[in-house]
Amino acid sequence: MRRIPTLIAASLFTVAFITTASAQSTITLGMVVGTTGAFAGGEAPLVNGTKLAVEEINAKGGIGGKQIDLVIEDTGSEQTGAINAFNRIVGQEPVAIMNTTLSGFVLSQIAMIKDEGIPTLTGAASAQLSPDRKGIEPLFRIRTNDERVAAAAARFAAEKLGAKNIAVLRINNEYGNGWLRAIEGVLGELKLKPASIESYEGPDRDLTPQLLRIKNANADALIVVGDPPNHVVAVQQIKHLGLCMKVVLSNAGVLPTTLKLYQPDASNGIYGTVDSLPADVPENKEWADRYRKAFNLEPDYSAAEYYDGVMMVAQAIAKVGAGKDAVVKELRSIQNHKGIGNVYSYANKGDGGVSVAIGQIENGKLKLTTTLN
Amino acid sequence: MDTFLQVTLSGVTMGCIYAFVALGFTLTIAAAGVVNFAYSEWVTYGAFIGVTLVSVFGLPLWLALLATVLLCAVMGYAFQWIVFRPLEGRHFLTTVTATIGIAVSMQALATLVWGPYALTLPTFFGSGVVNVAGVSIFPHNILIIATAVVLIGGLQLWLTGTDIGLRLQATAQDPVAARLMGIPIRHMRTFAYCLSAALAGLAGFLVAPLFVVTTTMGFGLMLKGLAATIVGGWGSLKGAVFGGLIIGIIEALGATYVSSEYKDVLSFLIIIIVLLVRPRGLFPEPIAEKL
Repeated sequence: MRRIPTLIAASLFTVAFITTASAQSTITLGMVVGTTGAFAGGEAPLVNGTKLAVEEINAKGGIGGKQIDLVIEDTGSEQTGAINAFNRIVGQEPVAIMNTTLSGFVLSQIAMIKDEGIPTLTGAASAQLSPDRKGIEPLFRIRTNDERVAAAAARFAAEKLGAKNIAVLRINNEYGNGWLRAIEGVLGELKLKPASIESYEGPDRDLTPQLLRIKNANADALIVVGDPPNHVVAVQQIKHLGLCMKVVLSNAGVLPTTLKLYQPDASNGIYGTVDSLPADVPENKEWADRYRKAFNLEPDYSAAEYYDGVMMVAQAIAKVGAGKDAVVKELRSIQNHKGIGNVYSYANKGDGGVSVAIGQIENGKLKLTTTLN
Repeated sequence: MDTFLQVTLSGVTMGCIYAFVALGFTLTIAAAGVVNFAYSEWVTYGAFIGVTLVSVFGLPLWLALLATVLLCAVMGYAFQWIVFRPLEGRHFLTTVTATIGIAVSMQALATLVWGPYALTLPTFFGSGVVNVAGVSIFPHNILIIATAVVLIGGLQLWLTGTDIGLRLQATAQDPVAARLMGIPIRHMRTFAYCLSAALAGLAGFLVAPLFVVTTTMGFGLMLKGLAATIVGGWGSLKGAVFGGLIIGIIEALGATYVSSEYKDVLSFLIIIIVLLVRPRGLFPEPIAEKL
């Protein structure tokens, strides 16, 4: 009987030893995204891009012989969920965190990101997160600032499409408001005023009143800002109401998974903004094929950007080790790094991605119209 | 004038959708005194089941609609056994909390089963639009309005003119007296749950082509359905219909003639005014006092 406590102690020691040994042979990469809830669809490509990069690194032997262990925590597509998920991930002591793409959620995590100092990469594109505003040292944007994308949409409508009365239909949140501010800024520079500014709530599925106000304002171009379902409803109702102005959709409106939802006769000829069209670049063919094979989906820029983010972190760790301060410092030295989905700069208060592209929908596919870097 | 007619048509369509949701929501309140917050997911599942039957099993739309309604009725029956029967006799808030928990679980399950991406369902009439006197009419909207009129009218006739309808009303108004009169109130409640779930399936299927099918589509609808129920009066089927129509039309007209920014503010202002004037809603029912 006296041997039982000894056996238990020996077992516990063995388990602890194995766990420690296992922990030392892996590096934890955290990820905080919505895998359930309203934004799960929009954030799924981020998970795909991250997984693809992790699998690729691990297949090549990991970083310095250590495999990457990707740990994902669900935000539930809610702000409090994003804070709780971030806390749970911090408890896993990750070398870096691939964070949600929702600007409002990231803004609510800012103090925690600053306190922890763990390199945190995000696809959140709000201008509020710029280094000269609320951006902080350990936070790295792996997308193009919305201000830049929205400004490109407004300039494209005014200068390339020749529109004089540009209307805006935006979702009533930080994302929509950021776009509106940038569009108003560009129109002001061009000595133009918005023909009409309309808003809607995320769950709204009838935009008839807003579209009729835009029609009655004699708008000759319309910029629609929102999430994938909002774009689908807007495009459908623009057709039903017989509106014949030029339409430019924000990024979510031309994601491959959104393009599938449009009636072809309703979406043909509509423009959309993206950071890039990674699958259209010949040198990305191998990556795009791998993505298609792994997820049975067409790759998009957001997946490519999260892939790039993991690769940049891996390169930084390989160079300076896994210490969070060293990784942050190394990432902050990046200048004009060309990835699959964007060109990134963090040195000298760089704001991450810089590329913007505008495409036109033709038979359910987005064809590149112009690139602005 | 064209704008007014167009917006009114759109408001009536949305009002009918809200009325559908409010009707199903009200049925369980009226028959069993249960405020079922999982109703949002019943609507969502109706849409997802419809999409699955059409796009995976290749059923024609009309058959998929019938199958969806039937499957949702079965779901209501299963719910009655698994969820509502064990909760019978518990405090009102216990039931409400349980249904909220189930709604969250069902939403997560939907993501696991159907994936995170939005889906769509084709309409019965294609994507064409009919133009009448400057008003663009999307035939699917007319289908929704016509279905609402037939269904609501039929339900009213059935409730007041048939034996089973009168039994259901008796169960709603006073279950103890109904039981003493020999009415099998458990069967009546089971029937109400099945009917409520069938209505959710119908609503989900019909709104899917307009709304885009997502795991959260039912939640927004249920909030409006809940608002319609409050305006119309807890447990009142007539109130659910009028409440839905009032909210749908006010929202549309407010967004057009006042501001799209204040669309929801206007809706909630209407609710506040109605509740100030008639605290138990437009068509109060005795069941409201029991909740």
